[in-house]
Amino acid sequence: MSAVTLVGMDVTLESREGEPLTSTLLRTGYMMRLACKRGGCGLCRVHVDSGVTEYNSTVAETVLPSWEREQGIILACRSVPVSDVTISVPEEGRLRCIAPLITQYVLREQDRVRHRGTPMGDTATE
Amino acid sequence: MGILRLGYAHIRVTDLEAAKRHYIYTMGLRPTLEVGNRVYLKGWDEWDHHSVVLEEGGVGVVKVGFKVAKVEDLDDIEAKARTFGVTTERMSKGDNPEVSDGLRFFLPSMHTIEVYHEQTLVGLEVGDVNPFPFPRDLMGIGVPRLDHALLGCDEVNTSEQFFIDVFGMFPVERLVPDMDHQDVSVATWLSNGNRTHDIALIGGENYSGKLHHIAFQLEDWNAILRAGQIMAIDDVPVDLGPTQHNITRGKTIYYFDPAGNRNEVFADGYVAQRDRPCVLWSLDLLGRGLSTVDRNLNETFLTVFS
Ligand code: FES
Ligand SMILES: [Fe+2]
Repeated sequence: MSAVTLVGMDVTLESREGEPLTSTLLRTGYMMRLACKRGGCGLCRVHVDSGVTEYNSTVAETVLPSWEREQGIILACRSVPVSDVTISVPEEGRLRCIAPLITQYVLREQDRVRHRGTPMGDTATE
Repeated sequence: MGILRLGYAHIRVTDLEAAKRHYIYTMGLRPTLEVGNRVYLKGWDEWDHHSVVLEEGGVGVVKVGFKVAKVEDLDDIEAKARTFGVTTERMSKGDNPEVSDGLRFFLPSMHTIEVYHEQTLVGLEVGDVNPFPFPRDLMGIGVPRLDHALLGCDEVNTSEQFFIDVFGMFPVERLVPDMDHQDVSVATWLSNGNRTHDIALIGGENYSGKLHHIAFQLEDWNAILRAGQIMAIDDVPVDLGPTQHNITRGKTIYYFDPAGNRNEVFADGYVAQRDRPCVLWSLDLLGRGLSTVDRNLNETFLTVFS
């Protein structure tokens, strides 16, 4: 489990094991520009400000050339964090919250787990 | 007779095993040959050896092949291509496994096109004597055949004219800037028999050489919906649909293979004939062209190529 901090959103999300960044965003009520979710279109470019991600499948040089990779650009849909990461979505990526009720729940739940070590609804250990 | 159909699409995939899972397990194509980093596949209602070739390494289209009826058609197309100003080279039997000799050239849009007169006959999966309507053990969506491809071009008119002059196709529908500029093709749907399109072209900056999608035929709207449900079960990313286009009236879903190449399942469309008036679409109503009901433009559909 890694912490994914979204620059400009003032939020840190817990990613699940093996979960690509775009899946973390969609699961927690966020949306950004993306299409194929398979590393083929290059629309989901983001910048890794800190931390390390790895690809869960090969990304073609024609989709993301090495000079961009060297600058810290990754394709979010194929990138899985292997440490805590801080991610900047470029303006044209239009990161936004589209389902606040999900986001609020997720953040409350993260907080609860962090402070009590108990998932919400798990009364057995409360 | 000339061109019979779009015979094969040869595309690149980043991961051959993942692509095989998609095209065999989800789409229901049958593998007919695997050599090195390539897999050859056919639909159950196709009789030739293959209609889809997957090659590991990258993403996008390597080439597309068109089948002609007779070997003499090659000479005819070669001569017409020369007149058009496109240089062809001869390809040898065996350049592509199970494919005859033929022609190879670059379309003005930079796509590699091959023309051949024969492929090894494998046969319909239901047989051709007293057949049942479909094979008993189809996999997933079970697409019967490759239907068409949509290719990107920086400039559509020249490649469109090539298909008309050299391949003898006719435009069934065209997207033009507005009715005062009907000579400019922003996109075109070209037919070769009586389907609404066997090949289509769409224009935009840096689109040349790119693939918008390859499409598989399905029976009807019910089959499209069921295909969509199977895509959901198999976690296939969907771009657009299920919906119906006004353009060609096809019922459709667009989705991505595991490398990010766009596929389509396509059903129906009206019967196109050479003397049918060509339908025109203007850019201001492209939303209506793309969907009969919601009429909104989908951002990714018009910008994402592989
Ligand atoms: S969404 Fe297409 S590369 Fe990520
Ligand atoms: Fe199509």
